[in-house]
Amino acid sequence: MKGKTEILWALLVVAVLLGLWELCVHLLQLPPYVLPPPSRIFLAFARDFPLLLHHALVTLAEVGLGLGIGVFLGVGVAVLAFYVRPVGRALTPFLVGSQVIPVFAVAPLFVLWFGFGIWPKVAVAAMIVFFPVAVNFLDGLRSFGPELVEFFQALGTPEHRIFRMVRVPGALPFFFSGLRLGATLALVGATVGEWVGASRGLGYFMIQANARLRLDRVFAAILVLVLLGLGLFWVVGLGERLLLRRR
Amino acid sequence: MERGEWVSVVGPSGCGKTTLLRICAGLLKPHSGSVQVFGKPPRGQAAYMPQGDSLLPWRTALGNILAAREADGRLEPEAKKEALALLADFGLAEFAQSFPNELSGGMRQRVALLRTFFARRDLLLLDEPLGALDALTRAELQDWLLGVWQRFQKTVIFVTHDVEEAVILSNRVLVLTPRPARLAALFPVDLPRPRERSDPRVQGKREAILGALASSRVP
Repeated sequence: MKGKTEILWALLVVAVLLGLWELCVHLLQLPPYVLPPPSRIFLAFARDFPLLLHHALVTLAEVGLGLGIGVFLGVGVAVLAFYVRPVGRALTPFLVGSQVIPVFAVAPLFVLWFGFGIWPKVAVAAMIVFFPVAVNFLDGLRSFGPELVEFFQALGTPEHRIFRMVRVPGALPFFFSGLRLGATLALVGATVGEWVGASRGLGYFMIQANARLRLDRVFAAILVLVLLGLGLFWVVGLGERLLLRRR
Repeated sequence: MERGEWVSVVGPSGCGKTTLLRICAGLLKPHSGSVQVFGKPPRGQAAYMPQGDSLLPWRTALGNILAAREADGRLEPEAKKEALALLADFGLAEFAQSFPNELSGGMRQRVALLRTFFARRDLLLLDEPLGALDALTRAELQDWLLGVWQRFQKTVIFVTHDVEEAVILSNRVLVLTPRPARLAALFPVDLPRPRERSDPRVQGKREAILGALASSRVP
């Protein structure tokens, strides 16, 4: 029940803020190409819904593919770094330092390298997902003491089974905190990639609308992005609850 | 060692009791010489219970106990029934579905001990399993552990720093010297079980072992 009241409060806050926004726009008589009122944004959202959906699906596909590739590579590199010591030692500073890599600044390069299709955006999303997943999963694999593993090692359990029974479940909470971080950022990454150069996707839609001073459409696209982000967050949370249930 | 025997290892802290167990478990290689368990290299021959919390926090008590069999590959269909019966026989029936963080320290050690007994191994290596418990829980668990051991009739090597505990539980008590550890003395304890702590024969053994420990300290 606590969750429900919290949601109600959140909705109330949003409603109040939107009301103030609407009021300000009308009182200050701001033209819609400077700041459209929420009512106009919702109207644009409803009218352009099929178009928005079309572009949203493109963005979602980019993020989905990016997530898949980023998770696959991130987990792979973490496992490699965990088992092959020299690799781990060589990669750790890069993984730790990866937080400072301006992934968004690399987006134009990716467009240059991979063309205007969905692949440069997939690459940006994958890169954004890769680092937190790799760093967190590796942290997770290293997170518990040897006691948990030694019981099984002494029994002569082969390492692949120890990996499955002990190491992966032990590292999963870390993995998910990395994935949650990556999933939402990947959406931003894909959108930025679309700003730089695309012919489809929400980022493209926003650039087009912005150029025509259709700010109601820009905001409608932002609304869709927010919804997508919430959806991604929810899906990751659902996966987490399913895999880590009753913990 | 004889089959079904309980041998305790006592010695000053830091003398290498844990190292000895880890070598017997096949987790460490001795610098020189070799260890054989049932005539084979040690790895995989014994069930080793490390010091400290070694239960998997994401598994229930039952799940943790079953892990001892899953470790060998496929889980037999009757294993779950067997494990539940074991939990029930040793007073843990109501905790079968509890996770380690929901259990007290004593209960966690009981589960970890049952898990070690549940593994299909004839030799158990227990590293101070009661070391972190308060005195009352500890005495209670000593009796409990004796019950489990008598049911299974497995060979046990038991590391402890509590001499009285060693006397109460063991067939033989091995006393190690300070680093580098050597065998200082070997005390057979042929008293009928269960042994009372207040029994003068128990106290006598205790004094003798403490004496051996003290004299081993003088070079």
